[in-house]
Amino acid sequence: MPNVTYLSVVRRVDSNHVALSFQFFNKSRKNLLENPKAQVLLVEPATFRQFQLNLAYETTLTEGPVFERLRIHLDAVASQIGMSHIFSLRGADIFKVLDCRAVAGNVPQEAMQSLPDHLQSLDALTERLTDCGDLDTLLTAGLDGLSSLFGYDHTFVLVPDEEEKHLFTIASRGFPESGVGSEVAIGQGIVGLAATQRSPIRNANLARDMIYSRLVRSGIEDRGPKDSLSREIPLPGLANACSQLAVPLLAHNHLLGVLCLQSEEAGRFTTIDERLALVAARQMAVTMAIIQLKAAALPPDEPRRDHLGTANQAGPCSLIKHYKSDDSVFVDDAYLVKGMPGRILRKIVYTYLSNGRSEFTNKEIRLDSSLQLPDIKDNLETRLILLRRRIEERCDFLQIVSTGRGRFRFDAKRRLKLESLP
Amino acid sequence: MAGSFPYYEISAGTRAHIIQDTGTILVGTRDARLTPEITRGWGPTILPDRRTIDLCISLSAGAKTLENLRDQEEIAVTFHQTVNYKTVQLKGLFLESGDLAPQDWESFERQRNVLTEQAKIHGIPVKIGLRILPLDPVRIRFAVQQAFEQTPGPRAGNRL
Repeated sequence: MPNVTYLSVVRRVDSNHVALSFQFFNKSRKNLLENPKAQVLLVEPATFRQFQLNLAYETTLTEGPVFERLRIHLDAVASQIGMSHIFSLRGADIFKVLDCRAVAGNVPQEAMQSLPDHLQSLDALTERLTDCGDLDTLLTAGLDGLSSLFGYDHTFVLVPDEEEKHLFTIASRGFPESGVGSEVAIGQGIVGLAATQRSPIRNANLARDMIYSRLVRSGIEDRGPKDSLSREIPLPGLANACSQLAVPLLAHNHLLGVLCLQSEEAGRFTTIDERLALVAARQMAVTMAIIQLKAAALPPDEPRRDHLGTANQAGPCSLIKHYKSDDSVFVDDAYLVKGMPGRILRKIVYTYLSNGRSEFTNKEIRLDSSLQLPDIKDNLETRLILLRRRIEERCDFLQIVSTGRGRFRFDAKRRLKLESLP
Repeated sequence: MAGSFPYYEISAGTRAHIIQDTGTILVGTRDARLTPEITRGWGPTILPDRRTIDLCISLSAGAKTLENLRDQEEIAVTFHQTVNYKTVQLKGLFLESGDLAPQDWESFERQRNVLTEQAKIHGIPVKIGLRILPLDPVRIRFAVQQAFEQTPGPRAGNRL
C-alpha cells in the first residue's frame, strides 16, 4: 500500500539532494527501508506554485552540518512554545533528487518576474552605514535603510547582555510597540538560535510551524505531566508574523547582536533575502565594532557641574524605586528597565539628587566601579541607548539627551525621590 | 495484500473531520515498479455505505495517479485540517472514475470554502491559496480498508 504524510521541513542540501525531517512517522521509515523511492509535493509559500520531486532515499544523518541546519530550524520553532526538550529531530533523511517538475496548471504570472538588481541598494545602504558616527545613528540608519531600500518594513536589533545569556531589543522599526527592552534567551527561539549558531535562520511559514508545534505539544500534555514543558517565550515583534529571518551581527566572529526581519506574508524571505540581510548585518556589525573601539579610546572628559533648577524643587514628585536583587527600576510603580541599564539609571538619579549634577560623560560611567561594568567590552553605549529609548517611551518627564560625543544630560521635569530596595 | 483487508466503516468522528474540517487532501498511489505519485484531492463525498468515498483530482496534474489506480488499484488518501494539523489517512482500493455529478460539485465547493477560511487564519491571501484548486477535476471512487491517525505527535501512525 502507498503511504502519504505531511512533513514540516524539506531542505535543499545541494543541487542533487534534499533533506527531509524524520520526527514521528515510523511507518514512513519502515517503508523507505523496504522501498527507497519517494515523492515530495512542495508548495512555494509566496505564490503557491507546486513542484513534484521524485526522490531516492540514500541515508539518514544524525549529526553533521546538514542535520544541524535541519535541527536548528525545528528547534527554533519548538522553543517558541517551550517544546525544546520534546520536539526533537530524530534524523535528517537524505534523498537524491531524480526529477523535479512543476505541477500542471496554476502557474501564476508573478512567479515569472525577474529579480531586481540589489547591488545599487546595497551600495546605498553600506554608504549610509559607514557615515554613522555613533551607535544610535547607526541603528536608526540601518533599519531605515533596510525598509526604504529593500522593503523590509518590520525589523529589530537585539544585543547581548553582559553575561551573554540573553539578547535584549535595542532598536526596532515598523511595529505597533517598539519592544525595546524585551528579552530573548540566547539559544532559544529563532533569534536566540541565530546567536548561538552564528548563522542566519529563516522561517518561510512561521504560522504553520507554530501551529504544528502547538499541536504536538497538546498531544504530549494529554499524555503526561506538564513539568517537562518550559515557559513559553513571547516573540518580539508582529503578532501575526508568518515569516521571520534572524541574522547574527558578527565582527571577527564576535557576537554583537542579532538583526531580525519579520513579515505577515508567508514565504516573504527567500535565499536572496537571507544573503542581503547577511551583507547588511556584517556591515552593521563592523561599523558597530569601530564605533565601540573609538568610544573606548576617547580621552576622559570632565563633566559640567550643573545644579538643580527651581523647576525640580516644586510641583509633583515621582518616586523612582531601585531593586538591588535584579537592578530593576520602577518609576511611580511602573516598570522601566532592569540589569545594567537599571544600575546606570540609579547612579544618574542618585548623582542628580545628591550633587545636583545633570551632565555626565560615558567615561565616568565606565570608570565607576559601583556599576560593575566588565573590564572588556562593557557595551556601555548600547545600554545607554536602551535606557534613553525606554525613558522616551515610558516617562514624558524624564529625558536623556546626547550633548556631544561621549556626553549626555539628564533632564527631569518633576521632583524626584529615589528609594533603594533589596 | 490490499485485497485481503475487509472494507472499513468510517467512524462518525472521522466522517466529521473529512466533511467539515478538511482543508487539503493528498492522494498517494504507486505504479508496478513501486514508484510513488502524489496529487491533490478535492471535494470528498462519503457514500451512504460509509465505506466508500468519492473525491476529485485534476485530470492533467493527476494523469499518472489515474494510470496507477487503473493498473494497481491501491490508494492512500490524507485528510488534513491545516489550522490544528489534525490528519487522518485512509487506505483502500480504487473502484472507478468518471465525470463529476452535482453532489461532487457541491462537495468541491464545500471544501473550497473550508480551505478559504483556513487560508485566512494562516494569513495567506485567498486568491493565492486557491491557486491549488484544479481547473479540470475528474471524480475517483475508492473503498476504504484501513484508517490511521496521522496528526503529528506521539500518536502518529496509530490505527483508528
